[in-house]
Amino acid sequence: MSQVDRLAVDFWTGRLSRRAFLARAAALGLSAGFVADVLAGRLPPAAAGAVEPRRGGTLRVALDGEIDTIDPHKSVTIVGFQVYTQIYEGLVRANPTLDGMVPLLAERWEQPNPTTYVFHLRRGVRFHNGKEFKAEDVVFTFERVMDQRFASPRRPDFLPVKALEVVNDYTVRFVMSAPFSPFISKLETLRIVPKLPGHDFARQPIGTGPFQFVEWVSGQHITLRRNNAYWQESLPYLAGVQFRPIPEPATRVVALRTGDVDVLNAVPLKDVSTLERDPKIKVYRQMGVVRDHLGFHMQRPPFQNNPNLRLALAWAVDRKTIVDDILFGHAKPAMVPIPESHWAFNPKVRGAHGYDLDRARRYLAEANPRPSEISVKVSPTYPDQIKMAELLQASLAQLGIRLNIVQLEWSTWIREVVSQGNYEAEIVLISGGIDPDDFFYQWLKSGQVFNIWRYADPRMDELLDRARLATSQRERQALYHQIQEKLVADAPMTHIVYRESVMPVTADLRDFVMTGRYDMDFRRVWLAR
Amino acid sequence: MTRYLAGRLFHMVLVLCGISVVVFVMLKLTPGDPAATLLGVQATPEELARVRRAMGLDRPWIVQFGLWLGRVLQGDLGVSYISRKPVAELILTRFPVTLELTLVAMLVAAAIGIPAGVISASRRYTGLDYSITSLALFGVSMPSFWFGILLILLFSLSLGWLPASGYAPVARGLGEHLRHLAMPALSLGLFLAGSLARFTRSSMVETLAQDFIRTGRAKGLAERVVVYKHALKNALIPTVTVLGLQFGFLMGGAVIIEQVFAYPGVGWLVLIAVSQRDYPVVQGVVLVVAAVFALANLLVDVAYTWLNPKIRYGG
Repeated sequence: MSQVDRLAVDFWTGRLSRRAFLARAAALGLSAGFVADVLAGRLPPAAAGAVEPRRGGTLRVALDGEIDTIDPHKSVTIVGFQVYTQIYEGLVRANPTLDGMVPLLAERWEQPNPTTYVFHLRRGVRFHNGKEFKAEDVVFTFERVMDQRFASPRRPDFLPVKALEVVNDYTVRFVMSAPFSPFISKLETLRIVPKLPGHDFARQPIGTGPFQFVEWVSGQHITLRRNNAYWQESLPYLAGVQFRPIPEPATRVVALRTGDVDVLNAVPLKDVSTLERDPKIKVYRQMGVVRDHLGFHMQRPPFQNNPNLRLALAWAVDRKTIVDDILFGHAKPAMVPIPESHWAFNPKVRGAHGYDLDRARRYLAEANPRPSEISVKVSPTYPDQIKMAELLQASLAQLGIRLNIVQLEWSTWIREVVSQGNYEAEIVLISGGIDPDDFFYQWLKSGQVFNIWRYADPRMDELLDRARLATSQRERQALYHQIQEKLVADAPMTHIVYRESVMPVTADLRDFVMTGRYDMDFRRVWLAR
Repeated sequence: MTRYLAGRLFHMVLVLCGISVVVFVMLKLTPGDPAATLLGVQATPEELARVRRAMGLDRPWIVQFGLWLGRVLQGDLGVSYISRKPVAELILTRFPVTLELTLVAMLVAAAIGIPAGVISASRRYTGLDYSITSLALFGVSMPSFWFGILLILLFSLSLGWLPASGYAPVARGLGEHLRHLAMPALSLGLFLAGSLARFTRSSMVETLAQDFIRTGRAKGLAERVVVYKHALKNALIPTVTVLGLQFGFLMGGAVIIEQVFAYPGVGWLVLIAVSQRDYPVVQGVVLVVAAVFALANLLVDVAYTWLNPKIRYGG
């Protein structure tokens, strides 16, 4: 995050008083326009001296699959997120560097004590149906998500909330049952809908977002048009956005190269270099929050109480070949789940695991038991991981271990590995996370659903809980550093790579900001054609 | 004939019931469940159980199937678990697309395959015959999705003549509609064109060796008349059978082709529905496709009597 962006965020999140903000803005020589925007909670404008954006045009986006639903409290797919984000907004959103939150429907917020958050809502915002956005809509939305009968996949994120109180029409107060530091980052998924009991937001979406719903023709397109009453006047520049599902990767790439579509939400890595050579296309690349790992079942032989065997495997993963040959250079070796650019990343873990078969042999000599065969479960839904397993198979053969690769259809993989814990080793990729808690707690705390390795360590549990309760960033950072050092030492899994997010778009698309999470923020983009 | 038709229709209903049972059981035996799709990976076992109960998935299979069948008999195919759209609406939007694609693919296959087979048979053991049979072999062996991608690279990327993907309703103009339909229909029809050519050839060769052809030639009929009027009509009977039977396989092939070209038919719909364990959609689509397939077979049998008056059905 730049110094200027950081300044705006510090003011919005209550870390800086108005006076201190104005003093620093003056010291940095920021324009009066910028200062006025920040005070009003608006996006910082485009860089000074930029071309005047052109209005109009429909942006055509190819998606790699049909979305599940446009209901923001029901959707569980990335494509669903990419579509509903245009229509529905939350109180806050992630900043482009994905390491902090910035205001959206809330103008600002403060935390008077460790368990209370007060949000001041933006005034004058209207839903697509004309209704004014108020505190009652926040309450209605929250109750909708928490309703057990509605069965929203977002519900687990908000279980720590004890109460949501309306202070007045433009102020709400969230009270936690205990300090819960990742709360603000979780809040991004609470997309606000208008208080319309019984309304079907999947069939007739109504939000406050920059684009409003026109139609969804199954298998053909989802069409959105500009919200002319968007709260940030003058935005968006586009007249509309049309999403088209194109599941076959080769077809998607041709559709972009021939100008049938303007944006690809996903692209085969082998095609990136071809697209980068095409003058009509611009490829955005950003190190992301997607990471692959090789995980071990911690409560079953051969890995149970056998750290030396786990470390032997951690040193038998040839990450360089995986980056260069399997992922075409669009990745880099990873040791921990959290990205290196994140404020909570611990630089000391770099090189904690590597590729050194002699070292792996030494660990193996200390291992007890020393199995002659190990099975690893992968899913053909992610073909890269099958290749990673094959590479590991060759390395382990040199150590005298036979690796059996078991391929399972995705839902079977979920059932066997996640639900039942019926496996020895697994390879999979995990995506997402903004607050450091997102990267560690649900994965490493004993008894959590996502703790697929059945890792249960009292010291780790204590560190995770303390990091959740700590309120200052410095204190949290120190705790997360310890957590990462412990993670690479215990090795319930060994991380393999961080993946780059890649998004190819037409060269006519301007002012697009890429994040490492496949966000599609079209509020400020425009088409130069 | 009427009695025959009534019997066939009754038989069809039994077959459809059988197919529905088989599909239902197969879906139930497949791991994974719609509750897990809906709740995402974070769901706790308690939440999953609650959602399954709410969806009626905790009841005995026989009860679930009975309820579904009862609704179908009232003309209600249910609602998609995932998108919440009525299944009937999804099928109505998408089935005509697949039907048209399949019929046009058949037309393309017949227009290429039958003449090729006839020419091959009447010019037996010449260079032309060898070229046609080789091409037919190529058509039969080429995986249709691969051929589809090659077509995209040629006609969209290199020549820029046709759109690489998507669908244009007729409302956007017939020309635009056909430009989107051309490549999917050609890739889908390729396999059938190859097998039709081979089939027509062998059927023609057999017919041309028969006595009535020799008689015709002895009477001094022109070779064109012998081949196209007398031999072809007789040789077409098995070919029509093949066409009718292939209709179902084309529907199967459409699943792949629709994926490649992002063509919004019922095949692609069912593929997504299977991966999401969206039972009502899978059941509804299979039922409709099976009904159409059974009807197509019935039509083939009726077409026989027109082609060969010697074939008569009881009653």
